[in-house]
Amino acid sequence: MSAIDDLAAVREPYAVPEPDRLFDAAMAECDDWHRKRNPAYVRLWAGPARPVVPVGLFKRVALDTPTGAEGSWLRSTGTSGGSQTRVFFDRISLARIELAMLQMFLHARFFDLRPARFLLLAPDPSSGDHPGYATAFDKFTACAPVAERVYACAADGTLDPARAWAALERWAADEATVFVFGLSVHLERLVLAARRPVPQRGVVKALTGGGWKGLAQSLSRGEMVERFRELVPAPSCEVRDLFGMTEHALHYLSCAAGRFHVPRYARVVVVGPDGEPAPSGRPGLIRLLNPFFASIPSHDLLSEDVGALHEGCACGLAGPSLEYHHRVTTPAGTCAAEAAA
Amino acid sequence: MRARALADRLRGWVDGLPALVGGGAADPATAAFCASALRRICDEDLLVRKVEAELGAAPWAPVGRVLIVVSENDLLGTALALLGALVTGNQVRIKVRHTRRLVDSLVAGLGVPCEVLDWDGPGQDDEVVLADIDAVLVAGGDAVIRRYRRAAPAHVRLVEWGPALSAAAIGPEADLADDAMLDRLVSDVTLFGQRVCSSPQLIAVDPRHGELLHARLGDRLDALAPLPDDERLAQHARAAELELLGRLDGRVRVALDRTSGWGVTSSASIDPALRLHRGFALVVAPLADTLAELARRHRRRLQTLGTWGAALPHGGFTRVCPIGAMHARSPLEPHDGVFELTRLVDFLAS
Repeated sequence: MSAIDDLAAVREPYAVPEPDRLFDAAMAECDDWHRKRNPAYVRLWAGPARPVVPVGLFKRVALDTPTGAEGSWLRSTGTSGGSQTRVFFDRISLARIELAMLQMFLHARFFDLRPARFLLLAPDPSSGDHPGYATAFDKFTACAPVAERVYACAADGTLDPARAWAALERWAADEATVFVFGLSVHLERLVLAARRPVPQRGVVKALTGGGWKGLAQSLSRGEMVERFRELVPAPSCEVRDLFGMTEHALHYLSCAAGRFHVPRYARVVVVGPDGEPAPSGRPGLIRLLNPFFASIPSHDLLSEDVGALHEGCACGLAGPSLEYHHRVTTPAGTCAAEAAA
Repeated sequence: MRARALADRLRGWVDGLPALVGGGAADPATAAFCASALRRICDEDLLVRKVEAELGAAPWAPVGRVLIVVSENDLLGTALALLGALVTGNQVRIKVRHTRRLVDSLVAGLGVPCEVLDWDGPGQDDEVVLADIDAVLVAGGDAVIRRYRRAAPAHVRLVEWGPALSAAAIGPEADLADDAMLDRLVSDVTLFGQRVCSSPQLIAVDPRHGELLHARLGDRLDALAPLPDDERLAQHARAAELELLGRLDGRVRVALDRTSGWGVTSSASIDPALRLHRGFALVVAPLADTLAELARRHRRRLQTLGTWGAALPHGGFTRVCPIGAMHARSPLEPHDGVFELTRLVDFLAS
């Protein structure tokens, strides 16, 4: 077992020893892995310090590290300037990601041991070349035995609200848990298209995130969640937020207070406008560290998302938690920038 | 006379302009620049002279009711659009988003009736906004221009100022030891936060000056007024990307000041992907090649070319001026090749 595999196998995702030698060893092992196999990545090193790779660089140049393992290509949604990254999910990386995500779902109690219904506000990933979120949401269905799975998006990615509401009506009298996974923009469209409430006998657990860039948002997240709960009354209706990106191995589930807790598998640094780590609670660019990817050197990744890091959280869980704000604003759209583009 | 009366009222309003920084769209330097430009309009009787020069002796009548939809990055442009429509005797309806306080104040200062509408998003009721409108003066990006082309009835005249690109050119004769000239270049780039059509988005540099200009501009970054925090974050992410791209293939070199958020890039290409969102984007290559490439890639979108140390033809730009005067277009000059008052009147024959 390598340090990376040991880290992926950790079963207490939010118990972080200080210092965490296992995490540091896994990151060093990841550095070595990519440096031995990826000449382009070697050129990014200008000294002894590991380069922090901006997410935009993966959209500009091919930085893949050959793994020799089987796997599949996934692409990002292209919400950063319209360009997309293609990421190869090799078998080695995927096994680590699934192991860690399982622990995070278990800790969040986002699972069921009984067969459950799944409403995916996403296309069937096997129906064509879809952004990575389609595959990610599909993989999340591993959180319970699948009694039925409905994809509410057509192969072109468009949401069909009627199909989603028809599924919820069909499941209404059943006691099985209903899981809803999808982009937030699709959940908004779903609630805006509703004609009447569809009460459920079983528990409802929803997990949505991302997918807003370039799209008009009519409802705030709070309004959207409240509207969904009114439309799908159930013994319990839990709606969680999701934060992640194709170039980063993990997805983060929000807690009851709406924060994203940083698990032992990762580190999060918030970089302030001066390029230095921002003080607690101050906004900045979210930098994500995780060593699970063998196929791209994105283990120290500078995102284009703005958030603030806090110590502790109203939900009671200790350790650092991330408050997501928004995608960083670029001046594109000004008259001059448009002409120059 | 209408023009003179407007100019007199404008003078009174301009004297209070610096106090509006923050309520308008300007930093202190830009507000001071705009105030100076507007005072010049009053002092040099430019409104009266503009009407005489553009409309001449031929009989004319106002087109009627004009809807003004302008880029609010350009405080001066907003004021000039309003003055142009009023000086030609039109009734005015103007849409604003961030500069409501400023526009309300200007309208009150000019003492003319004018409808001021709040920007109401992509779901606006076009029928209401365009009711009884005879001409739309729209300045902004492709999206807003396309929107009004679609929404306006066929009889409505569209006066469009689409997105335009401006550049500076530093030729072999430039003396980079001349601090005053460098100050002017810095001012041209940073006024209006580099957001308006006359802001140089790139600086064509003769190869013999590339290294030195990069260094000299880099030395000045920390003295510039800081960009807003969100823009500094975007600059940081972009600079990090360009820095690593440079390590990979050497196509671009970048220096970013972490305090101000302004930066300098050098490359041999006009590709916008090799520039920061805000900054001094040096294109180090023979000037003729850079300008020819700009003319080819940005047909009918080139506006102002600021020159230093080189005598250059227009080459597709509608205005050529010395460095330091890129934003100082006289109201008597054409705007993007057009005398604007002629678009706001009907010339009459009998």
